[in-house]
Amino acid sequence: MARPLARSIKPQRPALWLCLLMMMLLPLTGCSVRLIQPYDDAIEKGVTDFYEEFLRFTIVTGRTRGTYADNRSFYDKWQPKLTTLTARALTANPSGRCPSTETYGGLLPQGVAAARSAATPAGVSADSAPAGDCTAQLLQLLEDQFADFARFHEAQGSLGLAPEARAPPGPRPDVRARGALRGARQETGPVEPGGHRSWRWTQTHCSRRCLTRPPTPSERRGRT
Amino acid sequence: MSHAAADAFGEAWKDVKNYTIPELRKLAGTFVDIEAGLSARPPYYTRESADIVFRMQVRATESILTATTALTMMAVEKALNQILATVRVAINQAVKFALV
Repeated sequence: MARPLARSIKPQRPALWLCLLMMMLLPLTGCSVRLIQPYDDAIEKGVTDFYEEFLRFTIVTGRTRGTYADNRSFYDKWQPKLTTLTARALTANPSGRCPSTETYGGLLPQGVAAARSAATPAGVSADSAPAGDCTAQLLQLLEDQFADFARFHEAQGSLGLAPEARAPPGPRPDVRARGALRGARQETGPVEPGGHRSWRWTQTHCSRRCLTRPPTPSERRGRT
Repeated sequence: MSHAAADAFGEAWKDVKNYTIPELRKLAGTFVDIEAGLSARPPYYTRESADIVFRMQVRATESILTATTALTMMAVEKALNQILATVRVAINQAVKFALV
């Protein structure tokens, strides 16, 4: 009894499956999969401005032996700005992670996470907030390093930033800024011959390894 | 310091030696810099800022050794404490306060 029934249903199956497949695929055509964090112009601009101002600050303050009390406005301006940039990077990609092998071309030879635990001020656990992708973690690192620099400057009291005094160990905040800047740019993907960054290309074609290196020209030709 | 490190790391020393010696050199450089900064006329470090520089260097050494070797943070911290204990008296005498 079952056999004739099965025979009568069988020819209908391909059409049924095709219909179901179409129904499933149709809504997906309106969706996009984001594999990496989108390019954020505000982060790049913010970090570039910080880099320039920090360099100027160390030159001028080193020359005049400026004290922390006299230059407090610099820290008051940049500490909340860096915190805001970190928050911006975290909210753009809350579930993002940074591979421990990411060294940003040797700028952070021991990796982002290790560099962060080295820079975190005493009493604050770096493991308490290892959230975010590489840009977010680099910005947190920059914040930590800047806080350390501020503590060092404050502890110098009336001596100020003497030219002979070394910056706190490890790369200074300006080096961290270079790392964060490189991170923000790297995530934008390759630069087009015209000079603009093809972040849209990256968004649609890039795999996770673009976080560690941009694709070669042959890879780009093969994918586009 | 490297003799103390060989004792502190024990059997792991042959695996971590190449990473540890450059880090100990940086730590020693920090001690020299702090001593020079505190004894200069006028000094270019205060005791408080010298303490910050020293703690940060130790933390940097710890995290670099943890990242570059297979050792845990606890093991590295224990070894570093043992290494610093061997130079504590000499350094504290040189800087004229209890830095280490």
